[in-house]
Amino acid sequence: MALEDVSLHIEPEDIYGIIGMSGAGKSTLIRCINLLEKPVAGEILIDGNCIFRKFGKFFENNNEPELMLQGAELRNLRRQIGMIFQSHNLLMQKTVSQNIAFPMEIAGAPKHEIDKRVSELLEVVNLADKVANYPSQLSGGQRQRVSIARAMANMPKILLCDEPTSALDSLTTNQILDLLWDLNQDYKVTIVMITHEIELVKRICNKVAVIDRTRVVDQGEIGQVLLNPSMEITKQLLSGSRGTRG
Amino acid sequence: MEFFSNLFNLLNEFKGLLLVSTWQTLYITLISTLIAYLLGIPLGIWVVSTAPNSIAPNRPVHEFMSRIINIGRSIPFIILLVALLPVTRMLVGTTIGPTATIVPMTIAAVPFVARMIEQSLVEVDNGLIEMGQAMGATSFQIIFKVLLTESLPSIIRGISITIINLIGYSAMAGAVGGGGLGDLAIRYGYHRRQTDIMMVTIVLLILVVEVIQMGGNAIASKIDKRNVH
Repeated sequence: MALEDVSLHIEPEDIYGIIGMSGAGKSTLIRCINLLEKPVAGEILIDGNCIFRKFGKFFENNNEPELMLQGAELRNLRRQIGMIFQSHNLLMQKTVSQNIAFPMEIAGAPKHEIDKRVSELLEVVNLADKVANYPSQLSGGQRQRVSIARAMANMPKILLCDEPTSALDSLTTNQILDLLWDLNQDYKVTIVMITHEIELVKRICNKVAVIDRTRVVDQGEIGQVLLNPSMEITKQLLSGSRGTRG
Repeated sequence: MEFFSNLFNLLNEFKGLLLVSTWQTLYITLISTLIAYLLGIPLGIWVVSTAPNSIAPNRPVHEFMSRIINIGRSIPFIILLVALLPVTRMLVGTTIGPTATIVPMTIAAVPFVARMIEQSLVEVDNGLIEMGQAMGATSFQIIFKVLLTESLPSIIRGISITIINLIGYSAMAGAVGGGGLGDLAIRYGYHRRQTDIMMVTIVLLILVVEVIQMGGNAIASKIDKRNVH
């Protein structure tokens, strides 16, 4: 899905919601942040460091060199950005603790450090009793909590959440959102969350961007956007996101 | 009663030959499988990882490898067996006997194994590959820590299918003096018209196949954690 003319500014420790209908290009957008998707043109900066820069016809006057993180540099960047997915994407042949240890293992962390972090994270996500279980033995909400613990394993500064609760019931959804909120407060992690449900945004986000048909049509502080919806799509999402999903 | 005493006498008479032939069949098949997996696993990984949208997409390489594997798989084994006689002689020094048989068996099995590995690896959810990339894993780490570990039960099932397939090949090799149960069946059962020996070898082959299939299934189920309760 192609996006056009997107410009977002996310501050440290924000919980930034990106909301839009299915197929609006939300997933493409969030995947640009860790370069799982490569933009055709534009610029991406994280902590002031450019990770991607390529100018097309929209940036004719810019003379800065093109840039695209690759190889070890790209992997290092990704190790500092946690990500959770709609389908938990857990390794089904590995235990809960092995799954949480995965990002640290591939980053080459020492064994004792991994063990320490894993038991700490198991406490945070309240799954200490499931340490030796396999994902197939867990509920959907528990699986998503494992994947959140995994995403936090390398103590990232940014946590990307791609529809983290779409497959969960409303009670479990609230537990996951509360967990994300706690992580934001306790670990000062910046959260970027994709969703098509306005309730999620209302519950934990402090800022929001509304995407409609390949464009960002509304963005800003949550109160400002939701109280004075300037665009038709924002009103529609507000008036009944559950209804419009059918 | 007469049937059993006949069978007993037969088994007694051919005991040594049956044991040696069974051992030869297992030897040929297992060694060929081992070597074929050593060569076929990297080949299968290579084909999978160069596929479009995989970890190292490379269309020309993927297409080329895929072609080669298909060509290898389309040559009937009995023809490959004869065509490879000079190669076998070069490598082993003879074209007769169990060890000589390992050469064409292995060469026939490599493309088969590569396909089996490919099948197992593509079953792994693309989301897991994306997860690995998002966590900053190298292609190498994704192959070993995601693809191979997640598909291990499927790979084990593939191994038993490969072994059983190779037992069939070994019988064909027996027709040209390769040794093993196939050789025994051809020489005694066919050339000497000893139907009883033929029957005994068939029963032995069924037993071997059954044990390998059941063993493979048991190991695969044991290590597969997707349905733990």
